[in-house]
Amino acid sequence: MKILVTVKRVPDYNAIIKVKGDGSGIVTENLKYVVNPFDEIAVEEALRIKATVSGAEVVLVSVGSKSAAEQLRTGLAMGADRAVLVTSDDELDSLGVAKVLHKVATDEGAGRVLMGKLAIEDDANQTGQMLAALLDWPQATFASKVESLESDEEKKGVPGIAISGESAQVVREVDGGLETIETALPAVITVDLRLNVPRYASLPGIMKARKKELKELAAGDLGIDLAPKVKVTKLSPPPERQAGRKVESVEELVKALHDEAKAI
Amino acid sequence: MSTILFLAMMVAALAVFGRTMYRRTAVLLKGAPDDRFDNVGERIQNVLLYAFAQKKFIQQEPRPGTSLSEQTAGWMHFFIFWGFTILAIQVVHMFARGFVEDFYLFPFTPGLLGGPYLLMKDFMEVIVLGCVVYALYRWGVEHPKRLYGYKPAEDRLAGQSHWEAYLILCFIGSIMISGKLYDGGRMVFEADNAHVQAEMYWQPFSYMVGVALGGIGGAGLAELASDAGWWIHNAIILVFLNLLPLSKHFHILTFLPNVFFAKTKPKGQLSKQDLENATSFGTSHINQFTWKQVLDMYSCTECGRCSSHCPATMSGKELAPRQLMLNLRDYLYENEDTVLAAKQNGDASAEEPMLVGENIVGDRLIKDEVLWACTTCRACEEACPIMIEYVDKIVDMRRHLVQEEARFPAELTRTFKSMETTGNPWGIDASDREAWAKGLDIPLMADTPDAEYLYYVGCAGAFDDRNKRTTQAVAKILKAAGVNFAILGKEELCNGETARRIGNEYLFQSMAEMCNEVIQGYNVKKILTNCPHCFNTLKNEFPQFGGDYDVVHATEFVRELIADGKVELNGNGAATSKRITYHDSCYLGRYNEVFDAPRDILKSVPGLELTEMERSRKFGMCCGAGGGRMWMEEDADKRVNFQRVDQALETKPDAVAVACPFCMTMIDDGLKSKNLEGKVDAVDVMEIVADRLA
Ligand code: SF4
Ligand code: SF4
Repeated sequence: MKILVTVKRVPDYNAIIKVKGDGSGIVTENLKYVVNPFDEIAVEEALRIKATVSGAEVVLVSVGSKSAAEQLRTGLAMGADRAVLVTSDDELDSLGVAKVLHKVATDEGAGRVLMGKLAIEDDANQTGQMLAALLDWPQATFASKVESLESDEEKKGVPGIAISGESAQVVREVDGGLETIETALPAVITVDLRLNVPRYASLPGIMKARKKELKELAAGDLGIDLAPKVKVTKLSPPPERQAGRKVESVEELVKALHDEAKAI
Repeated sequence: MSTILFLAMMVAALAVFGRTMYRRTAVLLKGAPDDRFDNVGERIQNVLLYAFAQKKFIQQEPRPGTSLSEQTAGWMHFFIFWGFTILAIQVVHMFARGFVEDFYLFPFTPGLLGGPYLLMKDFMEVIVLGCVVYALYRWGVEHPKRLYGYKPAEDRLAGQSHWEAYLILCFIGSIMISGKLYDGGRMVFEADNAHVQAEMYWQPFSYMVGVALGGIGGAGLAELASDAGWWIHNAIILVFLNLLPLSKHFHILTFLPNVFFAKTKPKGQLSKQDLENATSFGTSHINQFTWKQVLDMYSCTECGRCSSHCPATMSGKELAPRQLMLNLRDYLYENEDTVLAAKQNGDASAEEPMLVGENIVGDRLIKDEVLWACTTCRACEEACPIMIEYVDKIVDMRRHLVQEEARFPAELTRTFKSMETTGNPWGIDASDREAWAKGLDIPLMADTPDAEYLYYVGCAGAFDDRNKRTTQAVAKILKAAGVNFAILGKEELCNGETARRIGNEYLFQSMAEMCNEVIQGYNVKKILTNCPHCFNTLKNEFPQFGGDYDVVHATEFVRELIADGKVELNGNGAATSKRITYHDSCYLGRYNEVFDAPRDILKSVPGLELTEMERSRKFGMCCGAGGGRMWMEEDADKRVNFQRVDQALETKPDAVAVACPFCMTMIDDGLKSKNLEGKVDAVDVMEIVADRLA
C-alpha cells in the first residue's frame, strides 16, 4: 500500500508577514519557510498508519519551487520513504496543483492520499477536494480524533484514522462537535490540527533522509494544462493596530467604552 | 610457622584484591576516550587542595534544614583521612615485622624521625577512635538525611540496613585499638628492647595501655594482647583492602586519581560531538560513558553533599544526583562481565560500538524525568568533595533522548522549532530583535563596524518584554559612559545555548556556527553581554567553533566603569529600594566565578544596603531556569523559583537583584505569585545603575 502525502513549503507561522507596497505579493526577503503545519500532521499520521500495516510505503509530494526540497527532506527525516518534487516556476492555482497531484497519484499507484486540509499561507482549502474529484475517489475532510492530544493513545503514537481492510474510519471536526464517518478506500483524507502531534525528527532520521530518494519532475513536462483559472489580484495587509491607552478610573473606562468605542 | 601462616594469608588476600582491581581497571579502560592529561599543574594543585587539604570537607556550607554537624562531619572525615595516611607507615612496619623483626621504614627509625612520628601516630589513633564513635552516633542515633537520603527522590538509602557502614567503622575502630594493644603490650614484655624503650615516651596513650595490661596480667597478658593485636590489626587491614573495591570505600583508592583527572577545561564547556562521523549521538548504554565518568562512579562516597544542594531534589522532583550516580554504579557492576566481553569500548566514533546491557535511559534505570529535572546548575559538582561531574553525564544522556529517540517534554518541540526557524526560542520574528532599541539611537555594527565592543543582547534581552527594560538600561549606561559599542540588531543570532543544554547538540552546533559567522563578519574582538548564558557560551564554548573573543559580562564591565569614574551614581534614583539581596546566577557565579562584580556595583550605590541569602555565591541556589528548564513545564507545587524566592524573602529585602534574564523571569514570577508586586520587585543590577546615573 502506498500512501501519498503532500508537503507544501510555506512561510514560517511565527514570521511577521509584510505585504509588498504594490500588493502584488509578500516580502520574501529573509523569510524562513517551514512544512505547512497541516501537512506535517498528515505526514505524521501516514507514518503512524505505516507502522501498523506491513509493506506500507509513505511517499511525499510537493509542488512548487526547487527550494521545497528542503521541506521534503524534513518529511523524509521524520521517516517517510521517498519524495517527489514537481517544480514549477509559475504560480499554480489550487486546481493546477490538484491536477499535478492527480498525475503523481496515478503514476505512483497510490492507494491513499493524506494531505493538510489547507495551507497556512493562502488558506484556500480546495486542493484536497479537487483532487478527490479528479481521482473520482471518496474524500474525508478535516480528520481529527476523539482522544485529546494529551491522551496516552496520542503519546503512544496510535493513529487517529482507523483503517480496517478497504475502509477507513475518520473522525471529523464539525461545528460544535465531532462526526465519525466511514469511507471506502482508496480515498483522499485531509487532516485538521487536532489529529496528532507531529514527531520531531531524530538525528539518525536526519542523516538517513539525506540519502533517501528525492525525484524531481518539471510540472511543464507532465503534459497537463496548468494555466490558472484563479489569479490573485491584490494582497493588502490588515489595518495596523492602534496603541492601547491607560485610563485612570473605572468611570473613565466606562465612558471611553461608551462614547469612543461604542462598545457599551 | 606463624610467618608461613601470615604469608599465606597475605598472598591469598592480595591475590583476591589483585583480581578485583584488575577487573575494575579493565572495565575502566573500556570506557570511551577523554583527554584528561592536560593542565598538569592545575591538576596537581587540585590534588593538594581538595584531596590532601580536604577543602570541601571542612569548608563552611550553608545547609538550611540540616543540623550544623555537617561541617563537624567534614572535620571528622579530615581526621580519619589524615589518621589513616599517618598510620600507613606503621601499617608497613607491622606487616614487615611478620618477616623481619623490629623492622623500621627509613627515616622513621628510632634514632631519626621515629619518635616524633610515633607521637603523631599515637594521638591520631585516639582521635580517629573518637571520630569512629561520632560516626557511629550519626548512623545509629542522629540519622541525618545526608546518610539516609533526601526524599522523595532519594529512596534507595532509606530502607537499607547499612551494615557495610557499621562494619567498616568497626574495622577502623578495631585497627586503632589493636594497634594500641600491639604497641602497649610490647612496652611490657619487651621492656628491655632498646627500640621499645626509645619509643615508650613518645606514645603516651600506648604507654597507658601497656601499664594497664601489665598491671592486670603482667608480661604474659601483655604478650598475648600484643600478639593478638598484631594479628587482628593485619588481618583486618587485609579484609578491609578487599572490601574497598566492592563498596563505597573504593574512594579510598580512587579519590586521588579522580581529583587529579577532574575537569580542568572551562567548567561551562560541554564536549563537542563529532556529529558527522558518529554512529551514536548520545549516551544510552553503560559502556558509552567515558573512562573518567566510570571513575566517577567508582569514586562516589555516597556522602550526599550533591543531593543536599540540588534544586531538583529540594523541590521534590525525581532527580537526586547521588541516587543517579549510585544507580549507574550498581548497573555497571552488575554488567561487568558483559562490559569486559565487549570487543571494543563504547566510543561513539568506533565503527560499530558494542553496546552493553539494555538501554539504561528510560524506565529501566534512569527515567526520562530524572534527566529533565536537572537545571545544570552545577551545585552538585561544587559540593562534591572529590569533584565528581554530573552535568556532562546528564547532558550526554539527554543527547541520546533528544537526538536518537526524539523523546522529550512535548513543550520543547515548539522551542526547538522556533530556534530552527525564527532563530530564537521565543519564536518571535527575527525582525523584532531590535525593537527594544527603537528611538534610542543605538549604533549598529553594520554602520559602525569599527566599534570596540559588540554588545551581544541575546534572545531574552531582545524578545522578552521584562528583560527588554534591562537591555535598555545597559544601553543607557554604555551611552552615558561614552563606550564605543554597537549591536548587531536584526543580524544577531541566537548562540544555541539552550539547545545544547537540553541535549540537542545538532541544533546547537548549527546555530553556534551561524552565530559565530555573523560575529566574525565584523572582525569583533571584544564582546559585552548581560546574559550569563550567552556569556558562558560565547566565552567558553565558541572557541570550539573558532570564535575566540574577549567576552565580558556587563556587571564586570560596569564595575570597571564605576571604578574609573566613567559612571557616577547618586542616591536619589526613582527606585525606592534600600535593602537589596542579590541572587547569584549559576552561569555567572558557579560556572564563571563572577561573584564580586555585581555585589561591588550594588555596594557602590549610595544609600543601598546589600544583604546576603543563606545560600549565596558558590552555594547560591538556582532559580530553576537553567539547562533548558526555562522552556519546560513545572508542577506548581515543585517550583524551584518559589523556593528561591522564599529564601530571598527571609532577608526582608525591598528588592531582589539579579544579573541574568532567566533569573529575572523566574524571580519576578515567584514574587508576583506571592502577590508582592510593587512591594518586593525583581530588578537587574543594570537597571539599578541606569536608574541612578548621576
Ligand atoms: S546540576 Fe543542579 S539540578 Fe542538576 S543534578 Fe546537579 S545540583 Fe541537581
Ligand atoms: S557524588 Fe560526590 S557529593 Fe555526591 S555523594 Fe558522591 S561523593 Fe558525595
